[in-house]
Amino acid sequence: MHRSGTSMLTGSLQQAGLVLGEVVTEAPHNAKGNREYPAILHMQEELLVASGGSWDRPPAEVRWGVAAPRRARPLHRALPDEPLWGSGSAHAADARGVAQALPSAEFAGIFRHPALVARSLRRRTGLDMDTGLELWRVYNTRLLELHRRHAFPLMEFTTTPRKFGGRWRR
Amino acid sequence: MATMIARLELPNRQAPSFFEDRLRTRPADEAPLPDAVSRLYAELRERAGTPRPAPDEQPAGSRTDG
Repeated sequence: MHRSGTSMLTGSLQQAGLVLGEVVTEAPHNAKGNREYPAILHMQEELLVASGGSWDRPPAEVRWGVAAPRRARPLHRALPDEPLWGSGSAHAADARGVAQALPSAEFAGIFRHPALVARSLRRRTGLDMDTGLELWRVYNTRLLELHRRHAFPLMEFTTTPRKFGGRWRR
Repeated sequence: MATMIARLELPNRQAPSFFEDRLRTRPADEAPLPDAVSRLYAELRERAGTPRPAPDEQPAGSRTDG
């Protein structure tokens, strides 16, 4: 979910040795960048549009469709020579397709207090709190469904750096 | 929302300092959460193993995170 610490998680994994490639490292609303790989980000946005939605109107289902192999190309081309690479994303709706395109992929997830996400969205995009909370519910329902299926490491974007560090080591 | 990685066995498992300066405690939100949101948040916290907050601990976040 946007404004939930995905870039922090991705940047922390990068600091731990995960190769991200040429990701966005600086942005107007994110001083250290969202750490996303542009081609993969574009693929995700294209998927949302093709499914009749957008980031703030997430479609009921992301349709990879008959163009799935073509759409998944960025995943294969991102860092083909790296044995250990990753990509961060605020979207979980497309994760099922990612799992199919890259069967060896593993996931890690992060979430944040709903009110803090809604407040951050309101500040950055003008969305009202109720809409922000509903978006939080939709996105995080998908995160939960993904977690039930794949049981990956999951953490909350919360507390102090000391506490965050303790959870990270687990 | 989810970060896809190839493997989780990374060479450096020390606590990250990336974005450390941006983690800040924030005051609790004044409005109660909708029930469905509250239940979902509780389940995610349980799955993440987030400790139950102390009575005086407020939800936390960052000033400029993303």
